Amino acid sequence: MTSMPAIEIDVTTNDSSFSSQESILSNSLSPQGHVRHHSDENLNRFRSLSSKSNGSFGNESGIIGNGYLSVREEVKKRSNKVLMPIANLLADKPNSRPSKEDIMKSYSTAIEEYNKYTIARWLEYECVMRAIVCLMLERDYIQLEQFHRDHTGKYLDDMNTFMDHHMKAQICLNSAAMYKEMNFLRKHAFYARLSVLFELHSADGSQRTPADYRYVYPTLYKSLSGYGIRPTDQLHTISESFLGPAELQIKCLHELYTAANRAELPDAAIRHICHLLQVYYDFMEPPASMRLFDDLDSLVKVLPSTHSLNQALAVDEGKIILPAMQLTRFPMISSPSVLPLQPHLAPTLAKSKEMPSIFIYSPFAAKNENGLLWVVDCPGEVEVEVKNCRDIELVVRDLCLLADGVKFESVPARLILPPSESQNEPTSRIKLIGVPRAAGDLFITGYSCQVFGLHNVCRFQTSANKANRIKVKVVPPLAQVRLECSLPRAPIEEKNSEPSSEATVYSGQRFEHTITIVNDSDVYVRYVGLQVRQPTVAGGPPLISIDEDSGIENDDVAETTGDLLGCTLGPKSSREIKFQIFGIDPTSTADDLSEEEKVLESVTPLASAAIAATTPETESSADMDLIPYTGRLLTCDFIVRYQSEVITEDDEQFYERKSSLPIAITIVPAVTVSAWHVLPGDTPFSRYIVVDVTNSTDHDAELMYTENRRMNVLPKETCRVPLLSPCCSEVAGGAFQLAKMRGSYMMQKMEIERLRQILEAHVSRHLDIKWAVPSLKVEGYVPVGCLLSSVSLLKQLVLPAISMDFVVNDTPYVSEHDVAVALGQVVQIKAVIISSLEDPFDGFLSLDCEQEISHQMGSVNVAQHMLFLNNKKIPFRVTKSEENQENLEKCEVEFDVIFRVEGNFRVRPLITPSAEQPPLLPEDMFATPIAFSVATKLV
Amino acid sequence: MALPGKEFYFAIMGHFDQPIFELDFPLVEKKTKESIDTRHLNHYIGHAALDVIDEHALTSPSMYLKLVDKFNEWHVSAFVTASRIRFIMLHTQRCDEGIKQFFQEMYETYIKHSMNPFYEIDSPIKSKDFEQRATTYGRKYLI
Repeated sequence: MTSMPAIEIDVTTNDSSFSSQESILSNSLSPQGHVRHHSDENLNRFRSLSSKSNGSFGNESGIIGNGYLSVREEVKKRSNKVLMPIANLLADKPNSRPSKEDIMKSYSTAIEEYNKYTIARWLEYECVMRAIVCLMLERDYIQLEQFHRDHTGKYLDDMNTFMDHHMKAQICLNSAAMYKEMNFLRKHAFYARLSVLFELHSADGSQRTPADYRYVYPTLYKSLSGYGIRPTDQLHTISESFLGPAELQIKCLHELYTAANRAELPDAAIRHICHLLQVYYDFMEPPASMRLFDDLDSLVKVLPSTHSLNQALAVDEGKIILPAMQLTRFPMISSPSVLPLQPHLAPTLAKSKEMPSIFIYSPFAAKNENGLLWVVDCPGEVEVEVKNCRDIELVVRDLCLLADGVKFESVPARLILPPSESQNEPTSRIKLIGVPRAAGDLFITGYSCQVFGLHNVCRFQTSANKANRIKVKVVPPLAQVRLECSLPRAPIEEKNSEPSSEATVYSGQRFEHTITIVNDSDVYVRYVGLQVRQPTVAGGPPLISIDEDSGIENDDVAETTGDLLGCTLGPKSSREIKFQIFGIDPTSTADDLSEEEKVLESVTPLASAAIAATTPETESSADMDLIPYTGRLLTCDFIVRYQSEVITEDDEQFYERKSSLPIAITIVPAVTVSAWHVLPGDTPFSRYIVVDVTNSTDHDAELMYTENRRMNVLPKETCRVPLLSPCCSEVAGGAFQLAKMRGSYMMQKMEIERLRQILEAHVSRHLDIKWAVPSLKVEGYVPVGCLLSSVSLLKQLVLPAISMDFVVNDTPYVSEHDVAVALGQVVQIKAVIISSLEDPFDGFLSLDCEQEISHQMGSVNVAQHMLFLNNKKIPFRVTKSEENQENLEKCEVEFDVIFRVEGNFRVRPLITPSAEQPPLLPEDMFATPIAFSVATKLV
Repeated sequence: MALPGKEFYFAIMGHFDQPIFELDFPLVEKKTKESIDTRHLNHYIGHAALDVIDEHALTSPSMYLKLVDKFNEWHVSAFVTASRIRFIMLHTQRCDEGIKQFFQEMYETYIKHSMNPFYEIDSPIKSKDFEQRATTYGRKYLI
């Protein structure tokens, strides 16, 4: 037993060999596994042998330094002859040059001799190891491995009672160190683990103490590299690629965790459990992973303070430093995206002076506009995808964003993630909130949280496992302007915390309100522009109109940007603006129609054969709701753009924000227009607009129209209101016909719209119907926007190209009464032909006679019942006379006729244009037929 | 019929030392604790033998490397393909000729399988057909 001390291995020196080899290890490990090359080994050998602090295999075995010439001294002598050392040695002594085979044969003979004596067992083992060293120096690894296997196996056998399990463990450690020297990491790991098994072997059934486990813990930890585990990696990827033998890795890590736990190293045990769960969760059976979670929970409860996974952990045993780790699997947080600030807080860069661009669209300009900006002291949001891969609920506490660059305060969040039923379960998206406290470039790098009672800090990663830092530009504090309205506030939406107002009006009512622009901040606002977004009305007053005398002046910027109003606003100041809400006809707005039908037709003309003949199909087929109509909710927005007086990098730009105040206006129909009809007026130059007005309320309504005329309308009833309106002479007779002959559809639309606006301005003065509901004490105007937007109505108020007026027997004919004549009586009919055309008009005028049979049968042509005493067809020419005030042309033609049959007759004028004149359309001529009542004897 | 104590464990090891296909002979229907422990031991022995196999592959021109390692009663034979995919066979009794033929047949089978465009190199082989062929060749050459 004298040789016993020689083979005892000092674990501390053993450890130093591991640490000294780590650099070599890390170099030799490649993604190709443990593939080695001889060129690498030469380098390794040179490094390891030439190192003065070498504590490698020679020291570990303890054999070589036991009174013999140590390998280290030999190496020092022959450091310049590292390669093929024995050959070089023999080359110095040419007379005695034994070959490698001779040497190995000598060793074999010696081993055989030692084997005969049990007491010389340690000498035998020392001889074996010396032979192995020789083979190692010769780099004959295959023979070395075979030699080692053949001669050391018996020492580890159970039959070998000369050595106890501690000695066998040391033998295994020697072998492990030897294989590590050869860079046989897998063999090294195998023998290191075998040594642990021997070390912990209990022959007498005694319990192992924590000290025993502390003794084997470093050996187990340092054997991980042999199984493809890189414990020094801070980032444990959860990708299955390049993982290696997962089952072996799980078992090795589990053994390591068990050793750490039994060695009373709870921090290390926690770290190893987290490593297992992080990387190998998908490979483990649910019961196994559940046990690990239970163990983790128990360990966490034992610790006096919270374990931080982001801190490196020093383990005294073996001088091991466990690196920090990121537990990115629980929960899985990925795909971070920075969200813009809320619409009323998000700034954009605006140029100080809007210059018209020569490009309709420029991608560079668009890119500039879309730049993401955060503002100091404004909470910003980062949206991330969160997934719980466990099948039980996961609670995450204090989930915060981590950021660099500028001062940043994160708002902690608490998540309770539901269990996932399958691997492919969709992720949830949540928003993490943080507030930047200084201007500059902010980099959002990751997140921290408390999970399983551990403090976990993780970085955001790209799909390629690279750090994903999101850059956000934080701008200095900006002015914040809000809008206050005299209307009551409405409930806000979940996604938008901006205030909103609401109002309820009857159609046709008009109310005045105020809106106040308030600057709460200490920053001067160099420009405030006000816009109103509201439903488009094709005719009549809009839903919201700003009072012109609201006290705010339009400045130059407002004119260029299209804002209704523009002004400046000092710190802690406000401006008040008056506006009116008008209850437009709620049945339809221009926004409801498609692009092709922007001209609004919300009411239908009265059913009339004459009108139907002249009204185009598209205009006569307006859809009406069949559902009883009770009201309509319309929304409009006051939008304020304001630029803060904050210096930017580019002096020509300013930070601009928008603030809006949505107003929900419920319009309840009161007295509305349901149908209309245009009838001839008292003269050729006037028309009656007959409007059917419906009282939609449940109370009696009073109507006041045409100055002092009054009418009562019962609830839910309709009454007919005639409104006399003069024809518009500002639009020529064939103007609409000419507009339709324009070159393009857009030109036609624009021209028709221009004509419509002229007519609207003319007619709107005569369509003033007031209503009042005394029981409700409300009153207003009947909204006639639908009439004013109807082209088919307005075009009937255009003075036709040719109008005719009649004088019968020297009495001007009024269309309200029939002319009573006797049978055979000579009737003198003087026709006054009036032209609104620019050029003179030539043609022939004749008269046609119809007899009205009945309302159902209509009328028949009875020209033979009327006899002409002079010409049947008279030529005429209408020329312009300068003295005519209305700038119209007139011509008079006389006919003398007699009726030879009793009855009611209608005499219509017929105009035949001369050959050089353009054809005359029916709508170009307006003439009221003359009604005659022919009797045998006049009363 | 298998001789008593005649056991085989065949594994195909990928480039990252991960077993991409494993098969035991004789076939075990149910996973007993003993078989699981044996499988773990086989993993350790097979994994440790990879160092020796790689060393042999560096020096030997042939694909079939014969017996390369041994631990207790388990012998380790190996075969290295042209693409450095390693076939290892752990066996309790020497059966060199049968193992060699088995490796040859499995090599051809593996080549055919790896030519499938839907198969990704180094990914686990889950083909029933592949397993069936391995079983057939095992019965033919090993047992």
